[in-house]
Amino acid sequence: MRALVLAIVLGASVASFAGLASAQEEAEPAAEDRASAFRAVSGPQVDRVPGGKLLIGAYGVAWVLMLGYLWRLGSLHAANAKELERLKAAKSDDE
Amino acid sequence: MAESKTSKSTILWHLLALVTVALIGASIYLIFFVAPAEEQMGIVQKIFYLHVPSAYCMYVGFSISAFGGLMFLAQRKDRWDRVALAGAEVGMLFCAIVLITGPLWGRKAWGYYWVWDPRLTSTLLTGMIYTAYVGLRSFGEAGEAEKRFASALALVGFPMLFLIKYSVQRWSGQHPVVITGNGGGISGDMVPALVCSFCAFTGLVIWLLWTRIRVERQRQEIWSLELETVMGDD
Repeated sequence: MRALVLAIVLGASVASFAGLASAQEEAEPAAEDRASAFRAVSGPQVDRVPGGKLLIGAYGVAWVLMLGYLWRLGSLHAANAKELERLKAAKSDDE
Repeated sequence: MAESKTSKSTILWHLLALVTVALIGASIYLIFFVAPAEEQMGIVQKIFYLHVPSAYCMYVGFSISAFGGLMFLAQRKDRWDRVALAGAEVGMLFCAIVLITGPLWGRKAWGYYWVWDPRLTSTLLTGMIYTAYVGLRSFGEAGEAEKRFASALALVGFPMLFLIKYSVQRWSGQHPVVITGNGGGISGDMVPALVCSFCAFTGLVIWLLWTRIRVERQRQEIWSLELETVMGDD
């Protein structure tokens, strides 16, 4: 219960900090004023802005992280299944 | 009855995995072969289709972690601890993707990888809070006190999600606002790729959360069996 109260107090502090700060910054332009628009390219302009390495880097890193996490989940699952089987066998032997 | 429930959930789990893989394949096709390059940024803009859905999955993961944490503190049931842990871990994965793909896009759009923009900074801080959570839980079997502390940490991180969301509206910064109710937007040709990507990531985040919860349930079962054995020996 103390942890719950502590969490609520800390959460409220962060929220109130955000509220105070945002009140001070009311004069800043709203998000809509700074809104960006993505327009499709037409013609050969695409060659002026090459960024293949950055694109490959972004997708490559995402895939590596994702596959790494899947591999971790898979190995955890396999190890747990093996251990569970061993413990269940040991338990039934005892009985 | 319990066995049929388990097999039903396993079938659903496999089905979801299959649908998610199909959606990921469709997204890749739409992003790289259908969606046009952007006028100013060129093909680097295609990072957007990965970055934005990842940010959405990060919100989902961390929100679920906070909810699990709250429920664990209220009820002290291990099932909520599993939910909180899965949410934090999966949220961290997507947070890492957001924090890596964003700067790669920024290098092209702004000329540098990182800027202490309110949204970038608040995302980094949130990531650090949940990294602390995952770090705390990664040191072996967590006791009641660790679980409670971790749950409180997950709850503390939750208001930060609102800070990330509204920082871009309240404070000036360089982070673009593309999807708004008013202004901005994307070309119509880009919409199918973005929608498909969102669907694929939704399937992915649900599947990952589900899988992580299953793995954690196994681990808690092992822990209970070991405890039973020790108690039996005594």
